[in-house]
Amino acid sequence: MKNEAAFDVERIRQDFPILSTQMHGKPLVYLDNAATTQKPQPVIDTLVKYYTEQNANIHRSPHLLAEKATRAYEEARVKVKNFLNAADAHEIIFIRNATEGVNLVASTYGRANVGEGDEIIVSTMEHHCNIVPWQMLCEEKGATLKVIPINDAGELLMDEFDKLLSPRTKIVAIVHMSNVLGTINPVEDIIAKAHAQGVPVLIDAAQSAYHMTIDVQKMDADFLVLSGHKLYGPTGIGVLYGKTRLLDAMPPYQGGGDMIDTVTFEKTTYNELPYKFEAGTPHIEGAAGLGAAVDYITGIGMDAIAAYEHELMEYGTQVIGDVDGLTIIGTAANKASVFSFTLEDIHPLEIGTLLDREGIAIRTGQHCAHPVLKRLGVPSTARASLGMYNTRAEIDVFVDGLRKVQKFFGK
Amino acid sequence: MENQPTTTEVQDEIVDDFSLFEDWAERYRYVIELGQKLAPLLEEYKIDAYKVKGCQSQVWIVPEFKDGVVNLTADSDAPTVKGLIALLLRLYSGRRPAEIAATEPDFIDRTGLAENLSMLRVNGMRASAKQIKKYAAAFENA
Repeated sequence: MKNEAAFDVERIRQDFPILSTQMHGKPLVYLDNAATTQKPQPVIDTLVKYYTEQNANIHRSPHLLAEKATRAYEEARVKVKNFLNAADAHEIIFIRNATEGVNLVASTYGRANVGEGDEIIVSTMEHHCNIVPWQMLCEEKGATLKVIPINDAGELLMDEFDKLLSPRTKIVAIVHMSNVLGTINPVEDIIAKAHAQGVPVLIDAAQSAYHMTIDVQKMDADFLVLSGHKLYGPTGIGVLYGKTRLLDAMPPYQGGGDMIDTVTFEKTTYNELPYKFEAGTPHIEGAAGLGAAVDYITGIGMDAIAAYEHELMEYGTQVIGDVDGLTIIGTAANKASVFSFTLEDIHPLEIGTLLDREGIAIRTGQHCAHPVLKRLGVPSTARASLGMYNTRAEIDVFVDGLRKVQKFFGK
Repeated sequence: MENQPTTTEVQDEIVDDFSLFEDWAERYRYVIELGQKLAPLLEEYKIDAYKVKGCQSQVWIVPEFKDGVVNLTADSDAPTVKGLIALLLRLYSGRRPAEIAATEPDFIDRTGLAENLSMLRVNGMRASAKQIKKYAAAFENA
């Protein structure tokens, strides 16, 4: 309760202009945060400010405007470094999204270190972004993808992970929080076990980063990826965190401007971190916007956000679970902010379509994670997912909406 | 085939049918009813070879080439998608391959379905129409 006093959700809602819009003549109830979050005014203002006052290309030109743009970009890197508690700002690589982060690591670290007969470990609940790049690498190198199974609640079987770890394991890539189930995985434990065998670990923090404090040093992650747009920031900007030692040893990802030291037709030498991995003109305003998002979140306090969202999730679990014929998919003991569900035999697409007419935005389908749905035996689900600005009243509107859907289909 | 209406006539009919409804819910219910009237597809045909690629719902379209025309049967696990597929079958099934190849499903835009239903479903419908045309082309060249 003390957190509720510190956390004023109505005040926060006022910072998000889109939350006071209407859809089909009804107030928007935005419950699709696991797909992307809405943006607070300071993020929007930062983007506008960038183009009205700061726009130039970075790192090169000697004029004041270029200095302002460079500063906007590099200050954002320091903000993200502090947000994740990285040891050094050069460990923060700006990329497009979490997907690009996994691809970068698979293409550079992976190509350099994974060979024939080697193994890469992922889990059943990975988003396709943390499956397909590794599969591509395995195909190229003649390596094998090993998959940690889950139980019916949607929790990793850690005993099976222990068995999969072997001298052939070259990297472990694990999602911190499942986008389908909401499960929070014991990443510290996984990392400790992998490190005991000398195996580095990549953490997909796309879903967790906006729900809980991430401390890459405490976690001891070797690589961590996230998407800015899920962190209340702009689309098209993401972060790859990597330990200096690993990043230094990795070959570059893409070649081009800004990532070089000297170029001759005989030989090119590469720039230092983080620029080695940031070829070409980057998403400057996106980075600045992400910096503003990080400031916004930090200003409220991640612990306060997590506490509020947890309380909201418990309320939601109770009232959503009370809907007759509704089955929640994903009932891990440690989960956050995601309700995947089926409602009798009503197709999720119809649930989503009818809720949309009530102004309620949810996601339906397979959530870019086909293997986990196959494992749990459901072809597709409807998914409501919470952000820091959602309220109990909105959950009540959502539950009312579900009952209307049932009535429409004569249930 | 002499008495068969032209594809233009069929599309005009569909557009007329939809113009009778005043609100979204009526149209939505009508599409579901169209799907319910569609003969169910035997389970043995619900295989990947007949599946239309789409993320949100499963759609199967099965062609049969007989007496110079393409007969289509189809199914989907989502009621509205099934109804929309029923409209495509009304337009394309029982026609010669060349006729299918020459017919664009412009009723999708003209009925306002494109605005009333999400892009996802409309894209699925266009993908289904493409698959039907692909079948027709294969029969034509066979």
